[in-house]
Amino acid sequence: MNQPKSLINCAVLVARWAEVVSHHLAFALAVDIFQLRVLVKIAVRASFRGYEPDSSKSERSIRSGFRNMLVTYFITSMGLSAMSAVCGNLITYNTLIISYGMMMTAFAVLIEYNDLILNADDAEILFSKPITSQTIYWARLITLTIFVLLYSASLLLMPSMASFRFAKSKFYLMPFSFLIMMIGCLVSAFLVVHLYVQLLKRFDPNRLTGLLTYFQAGFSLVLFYGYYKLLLYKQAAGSVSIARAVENVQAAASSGSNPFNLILDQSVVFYFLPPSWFAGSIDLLLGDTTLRTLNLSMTALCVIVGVGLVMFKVAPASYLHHLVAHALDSQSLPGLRDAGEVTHSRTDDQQWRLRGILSRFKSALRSTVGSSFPPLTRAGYHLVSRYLKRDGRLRRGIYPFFGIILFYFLYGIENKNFLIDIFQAHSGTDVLGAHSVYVLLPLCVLIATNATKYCSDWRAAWIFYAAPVELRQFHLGYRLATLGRIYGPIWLLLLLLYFFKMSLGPLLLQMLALFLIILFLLSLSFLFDPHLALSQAPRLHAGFLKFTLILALLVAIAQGILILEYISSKHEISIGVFYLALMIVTALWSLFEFSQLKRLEPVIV
Amino acid sequence: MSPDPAFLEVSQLRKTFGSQIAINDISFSVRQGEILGYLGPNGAGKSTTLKILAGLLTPDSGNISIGGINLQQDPLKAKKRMGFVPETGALYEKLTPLEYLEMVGQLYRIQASEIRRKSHEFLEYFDLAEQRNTRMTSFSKGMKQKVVLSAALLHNPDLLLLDEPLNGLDANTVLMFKGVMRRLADLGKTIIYSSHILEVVERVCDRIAIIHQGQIVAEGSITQLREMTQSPSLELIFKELTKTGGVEDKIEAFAKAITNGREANAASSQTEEEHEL
Repeated sequence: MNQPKSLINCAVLVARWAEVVSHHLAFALAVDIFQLRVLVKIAVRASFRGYEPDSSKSERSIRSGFRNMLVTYFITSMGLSAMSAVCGNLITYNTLIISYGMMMTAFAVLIEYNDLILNADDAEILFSKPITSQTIYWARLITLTIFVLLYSASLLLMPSMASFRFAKSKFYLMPFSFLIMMIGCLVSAFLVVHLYVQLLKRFDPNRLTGLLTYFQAGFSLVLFYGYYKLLLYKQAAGSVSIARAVENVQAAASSGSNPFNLILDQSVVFYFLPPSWFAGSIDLLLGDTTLRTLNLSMTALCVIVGVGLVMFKVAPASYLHHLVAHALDSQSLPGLRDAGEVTHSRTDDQQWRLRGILSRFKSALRSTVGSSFPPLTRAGYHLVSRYLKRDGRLRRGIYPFFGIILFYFLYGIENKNFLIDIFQAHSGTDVLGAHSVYVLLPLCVLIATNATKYCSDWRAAWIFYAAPVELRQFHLGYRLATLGRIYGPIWLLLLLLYFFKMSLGPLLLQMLALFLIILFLLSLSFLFDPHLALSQAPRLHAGFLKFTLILALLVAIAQGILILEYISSKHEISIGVFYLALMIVTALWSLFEFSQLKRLEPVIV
Repeated sequence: MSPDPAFLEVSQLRKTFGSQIAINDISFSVRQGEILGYLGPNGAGKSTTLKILAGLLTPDSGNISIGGINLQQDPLKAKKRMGFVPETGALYEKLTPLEYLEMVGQLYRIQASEIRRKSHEFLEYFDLAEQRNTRMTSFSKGMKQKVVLSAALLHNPDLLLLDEPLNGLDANTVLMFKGVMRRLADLGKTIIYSSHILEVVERVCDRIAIIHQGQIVAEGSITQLREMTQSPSLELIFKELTKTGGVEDKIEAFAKAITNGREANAASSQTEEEHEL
């Protein structure tokens, strides 16, 4: 009888001790715990809530926001778990999944940065209240931690379970190994926040938002290409690179044997990858006490301590205040920045003259091409183009994926087997294994059609309803803008790449097929959310499940069309029928899409 | 008998954005129970002054004292005594009015029961009782402004900083709120009221300060300003002090721009004909 009582007493004591410590810590950091709790509760509530105004559904909507996010990433994580079959050892597998988790977390934080960390509304709402900037800072940081933990937990739970195929007897250590993975993701998120905040302190926020999107595209390229390239730079013979492993898919399918046995830890570069430090810690946890594992674990520990210190250190009294005030300053005088830009660019006369000639040529070309379209189509084109160029939310939603596309180009140039002339292919698997661009394009299509709905200035969407806007003409402008600004460059790059790998006839046919598939997928994905571009309020976590399911459908359709093309490529008549059918279906589906615009509902403004 | 001590004292306030001076050595004071009308054309520095007083922006130099508390030295204590209605009417739109007011009340550490009671009463007063559990994303500008006003008054502040508080409000609410402002001043609250609606300022405010190009160009009661400028109405006083000349020419030019010159020319020639007749 006494034992449970003493246990309860002990627990109560520990809870009290924790409370006292947290209060002392909060006092030292000038954080008001009560206010902190209020802000975190509000931020989580707002973050997972959709835009439906119906109050009776509000709590249900928060729960469904959580559930959708968990289910969506859980589905993605199943694919990630399958990687355990291709990896030769635990540390390789863990490094790969932690890399994925850290990268996805970093991207998510960057995309949602303004809502999670630096919300402009916070300044006007909170800074006139008796609340310290440290309280706001820590509230935002805790919100971010909750977001990252939920995100990484749903992303890495299944893969962390799958990792115990390498150490079955120690499955009871799974929660700890899972915890290490999540710490890795948190470290990645905090580093991104810190880096971004440091940049914000030094650069104009608007300019930084613009540059950040290029940084994201570059970062995703470096990440993919770096992994691919650096891991190839191995010293030990006999290990298999990711690139080789991907190429061996066809061989595996035909022979029935497993060609993978992917082992990365024999490369020197491996030890410089942050995810490998956390993977090393998991190895240590599971009983590997070699010097290498100890070193990796110590590095991980140092990184955690370092990041922790940075997060404490960068929260001086005026931390967030300075940043938000900076944002308010730039809001107060928007003209200053533009004036500065003009003065600066005029310093270089030659460059200025060249720019003048280029801009005159561009405007002449634009007016020639533009005059053949109705004014509303031109308006839609210019509006969407400008927002693709200037809107931070739109750019952050779209640009990171360009890095992945660029990676595939580079990968394709270096790997002869990457591109296969569909008319020369030996099997359907051959085609599917080689043309990764057909898997990526649906993703880009979905991102573009979704992202262009939401923008920071969505409240201005009333103009679509107040002005006599002919929706189809405006929508055509939007379509031309996405084709010209997003798919045009990708298509041209592909054409250039394929030009050196294929003969002209098959190349033109394949490029035509690609163009038609892009058009078809754009129409198809638009129908799942038939709202005009730039007309919706941004969402944080709503609609994840729908997004993933549509993506799966689009990938399946793109792959299906590719296989159909391969099957029909065996005969001249059948390939003719295939192209005719694809053109007719695309045209009809596009017409259907334009007719569905009538169903648009007024946005809430 | 010495006059009432100033509740809000602003001295030598200066704020620059890059090379541009937003406000330049502004000094004024407001007594307890007084309403100060803060007027000026767009971009004169009104909102910047109020943002500094509310603690949103840090001034480059100058001092602000609220009820004897130095805002720069003890901002938390000073902010507890003030309520701010920003020009933008910013609020967390994904929340319902009740949730928002609950959050604001908690930040001021008001008792939960009091927050509930006051929130219901305020929303009832502003005719928002039925929408108290509806998310504010679907609210009109006026409805949002009512919530912002409620939030600013929730903790019974001694100093109210109102930047265009009547934005979007319907005529009845404007009428009521004007009365509320007067009553609050009678109860000893200090109010700075920044607005473009000169008629309201003229009726409600005890004193008026006019700011132009970052400097206060005139300050005093409406009678004093009339005497100073020899102008009968606040509209004319404002026009003279802010040097807003050539309004008629601008109207004419704008009308021409709208109608491409055709109808405006026709109207002006018709007026000329009428004059000739």
